[in-house]
Amino acid sequence: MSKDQTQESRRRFFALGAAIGASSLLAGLANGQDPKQSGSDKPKRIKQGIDLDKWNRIKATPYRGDMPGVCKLPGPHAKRNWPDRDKYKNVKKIPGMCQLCSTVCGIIGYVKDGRLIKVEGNPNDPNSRGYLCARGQAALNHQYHPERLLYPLKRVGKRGEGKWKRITWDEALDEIAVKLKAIRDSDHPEEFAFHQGRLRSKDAVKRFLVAFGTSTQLNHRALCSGNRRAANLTYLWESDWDLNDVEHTKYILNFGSNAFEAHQGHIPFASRIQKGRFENGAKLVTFDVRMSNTAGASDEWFSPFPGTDGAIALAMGHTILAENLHDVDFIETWTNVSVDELRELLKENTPEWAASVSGVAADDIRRIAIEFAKAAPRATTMCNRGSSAHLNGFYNDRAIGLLNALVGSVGKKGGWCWSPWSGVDPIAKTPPMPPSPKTHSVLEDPPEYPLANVWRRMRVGEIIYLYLLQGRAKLQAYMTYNLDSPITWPEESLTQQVMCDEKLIPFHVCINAFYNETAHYADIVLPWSTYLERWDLDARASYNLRPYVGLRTPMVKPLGESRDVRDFFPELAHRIGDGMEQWYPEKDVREYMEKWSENIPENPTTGKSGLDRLLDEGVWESELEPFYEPYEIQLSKEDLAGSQTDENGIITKDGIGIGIQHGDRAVRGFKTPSRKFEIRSAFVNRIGKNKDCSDLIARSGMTKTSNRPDSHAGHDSEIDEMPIWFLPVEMQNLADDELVMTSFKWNVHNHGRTMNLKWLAEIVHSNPAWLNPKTAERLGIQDGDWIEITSYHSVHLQEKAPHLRREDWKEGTTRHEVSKMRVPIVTMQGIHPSAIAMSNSCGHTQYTSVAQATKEPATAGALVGSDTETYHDDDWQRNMWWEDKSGGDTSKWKPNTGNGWNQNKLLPIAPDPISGQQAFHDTIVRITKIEVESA
Amino acid sequence: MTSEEHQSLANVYALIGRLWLSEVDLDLLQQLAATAQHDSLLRDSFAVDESMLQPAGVEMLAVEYCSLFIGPKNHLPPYQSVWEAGQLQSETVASMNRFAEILDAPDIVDGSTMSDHVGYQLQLMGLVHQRASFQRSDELLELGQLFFSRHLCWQQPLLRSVIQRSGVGFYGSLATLTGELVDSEATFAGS
Repeated sequence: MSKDQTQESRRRFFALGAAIGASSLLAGLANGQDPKQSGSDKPKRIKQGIDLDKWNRIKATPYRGDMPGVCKLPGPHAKRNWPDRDKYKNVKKIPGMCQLCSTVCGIIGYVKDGRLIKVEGNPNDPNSRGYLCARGQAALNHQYHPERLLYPLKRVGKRGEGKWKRITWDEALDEIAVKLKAIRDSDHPEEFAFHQGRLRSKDAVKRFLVAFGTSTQLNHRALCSGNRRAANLTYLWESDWDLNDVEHTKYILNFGSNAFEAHQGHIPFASRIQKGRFENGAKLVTFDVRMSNTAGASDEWFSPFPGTDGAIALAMGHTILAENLHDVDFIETWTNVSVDELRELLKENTPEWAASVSGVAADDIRRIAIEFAKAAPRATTMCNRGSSAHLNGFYNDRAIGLLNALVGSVGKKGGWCWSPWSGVDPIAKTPPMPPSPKTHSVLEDPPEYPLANVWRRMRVGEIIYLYLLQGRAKLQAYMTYNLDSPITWPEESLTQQVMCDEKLIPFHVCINAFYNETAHYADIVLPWSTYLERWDLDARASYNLRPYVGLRTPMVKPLGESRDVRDFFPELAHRIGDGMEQWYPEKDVREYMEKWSENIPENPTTGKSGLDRLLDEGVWESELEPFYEPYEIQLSKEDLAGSQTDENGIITKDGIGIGIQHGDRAVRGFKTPSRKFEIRSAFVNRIGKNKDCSDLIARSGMTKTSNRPDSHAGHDSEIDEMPIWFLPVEMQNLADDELVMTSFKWNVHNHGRTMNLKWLAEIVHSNPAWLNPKTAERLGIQDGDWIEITSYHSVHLQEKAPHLRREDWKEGTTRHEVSKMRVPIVTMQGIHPSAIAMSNSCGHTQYTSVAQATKEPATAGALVGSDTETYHDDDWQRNMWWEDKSGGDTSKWKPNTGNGWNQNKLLPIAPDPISGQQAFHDTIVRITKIEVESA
Repeated sequence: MTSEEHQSLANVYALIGRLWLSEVDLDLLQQLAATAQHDSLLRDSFAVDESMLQPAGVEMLAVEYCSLFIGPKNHLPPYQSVWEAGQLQSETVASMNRFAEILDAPDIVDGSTMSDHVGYQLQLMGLVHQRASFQRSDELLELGQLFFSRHLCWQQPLLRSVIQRSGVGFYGSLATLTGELVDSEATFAGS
């Protein structure tokens, strides 16, 4: 700009300023005030004085403008001088708990000038012991992501069109309250459904929903570990979660668990596995279709045919009995079957039989079984989604659990343990809750799945959208919370179809920190504060086998107008009124947290107790002895006063089981109807047929167990009372061009909530399919080729679950297509020749430009996400390790394959008919090679 | 600069800052239209036609504001931290807070909008000019220059992106006007 131009320009601005001054444009507008800011009824006047003395004092304070950020994080060649040495001077360390996966490790936030600059593990946390995984390190990306939701939004276009306007919290809460009040006043409060993804504020959500009067609280349990939990509950009743004492073990038999990368216990579990191996010389043997990082780091890895874990386990049981390596005393005393019954049960399950279905050599099965038994009682199995996310997953996990009983490692130090507590309850009782509502919805308790909601509220999440489409349930309002259904649930297209349909979901409020695929179909989006900005008491199943509790604290002020449910649910309850508000007597969240944590005992050193102690230390652990062999705990005289003992030695008091006579001792036993480890479960057989089980429930002492309600009548299921195994029909004779599709999770991602974090997306942001070289050769495919995958609905479920049938299926056809998708492949030995693997986490269509790996909206087409023209970033451009053929020469880097593909487009809704667990690893697919040009 | 010139610039910064900070309402639009009748720069910059002076027009502008600056996707977060560091709440915020404290503008620090919002930055610059209109000092001049260089000179990429998206629409015009103001003040300061 020339001097003359500058003068002219300034002259015009002076004139404009004069015109503004002469107008009323600035009336009521104080400089430095956001007029839209919520809660400011009247603009505050700002004092006009400028403290020049203060300026003179602090003006020399250096300001360092450049700082690595989410999207401009320096590439590999620019990190030499980072971070600066003074970065951690004068920081305040604040304890909290991570929530970037389900493990909730204790963390410490470094806060400087009100800004979080680092997160590390909290060494006080007894579960994670100061370790923190890559996801947890990316907390800063999560907290300061430039595309975080910061304000409430209201949809103004068609649902799913992506057109929004900002509204105030008052406007949002008023509108939500009016809708919810109308539903509450109707006869159908259950038509308000709350649908959560990862939930760590259980009390806050439950309080709101029960105060409202709906029990339609939907979760993601069936996408996760439903079968493992159901199998454990069948054996134990009091816990759905086995805590393998791997730190003290000598032998770990792993069926499909990827604990080094994922798993609910991830870091606490993985670190103890390694401690057990390094300090005790424990052996880790892994059976997994795919060579996960856990499998790769094991002493031995075997790749069985998908879904055959249970067959291998039964064959090992057969071997243990054949070799007389079983623990006779434990079986005869503490299980409800005899050795002879077990021999009869397993007589056909020879290693040769298992080898014929699994492909694992009989000699290996036999050898490992013997090794495992000889290491007992310091021997344990471990499993999770790898074995349980199958159509036969319940039986897989029953068979795996059986091995621990055979060798007598149940409850033993170094063996297969559990705890009756899984959260914070034993230490910190939540302030009084409203009474539970008596509503019912097939969405929260589908009658077709007998074990889904018996011991725990596990739900069957994957059928929700289908049931709505089928008209089996009705919703008036749907509130989603930290949920990303289209990216994490099977049949993405069906999910999108239902979420988009305003007749099926008339009103959708989405609570989330980011605009994800679920928010895209909302009517109102509420910006959720992050786990670094809010309060919770939290804990996971303790691998120390004793209760503990940690504190999640607001380390920094919530950004923008983001708020937590603890903060705005009370306000919403007050607006709905009619008694809801009485369950929120506290003046603020902090007062609630003080009440909740008041039982935390005093630390004699600091003199602090309750919330003050937790704020200091972040976590508190009970001093109870570890929960080993709880069945041997002797009942006290007080326990036994007024009790009765029946002919089986079961001790009851007022008709409720409390223990069992063990020789001359009255002990606690297991909390099952037989008070023993229930290898034979009469309960699951009877509950499957909707028979009255009240006598069994009473003897177990687990009186909150659901007897089959009338609403399940007419939905009888056959559940074998013994651990058995079968191969789903579609797996029995795969055609030459058929493969079994399996899924997996990377060590830097969770299922659907981390691909927006650049530090993690740099490491993994794409997911070409894994194919065994033998299979590729057979099909004429080479590494790097593109294939079209066609997926099919389960044949097994067409017989076992006819309610899943779709209207457009042709009669007489057994293979019903789900979808097609085109992806590149990578060939590697680390996958079974009959399987094809894809990781989840990828293929976002929303969830920030980072997750989409594009600055611009993805364009349509088969190669969506491959658009390297619109996104350039050295870290991003580099091939993932499995694609990289540069040999370390950066000049030879080739562009990546974009942001990957959402595998859930291909996967059918496929709940195990017993527990409802989604069979993520059983989809039959056909693949054909395609030319990229034609794609 | 004369006191009147400082006050004029204070007014301009205050108005432009306000337009960046949040959606416009009907009242503000009407006043803009009325003032534009007396000022050619405003008239040339903002074509506030009759259609905009209707509830539907205000709503349309609110949707555009949201799409450009609030999100939820493909938006242009109007925060210095985002454009310099690729994330929200970088050290820029601490710097802004220090200036806000000196200039006695506590709402900028305490409000829910982060203090490195371009609207706040323009308004703080306005406060400097307002103060300068009745308090002449070298320190104030130094403060103003430093503030300008640290917190107003980063904006060009944002303004270009807004203009690219919005064209001659309301917010494209706002970005153009902002760019011209910052540009002419920067050139003046350099001369």
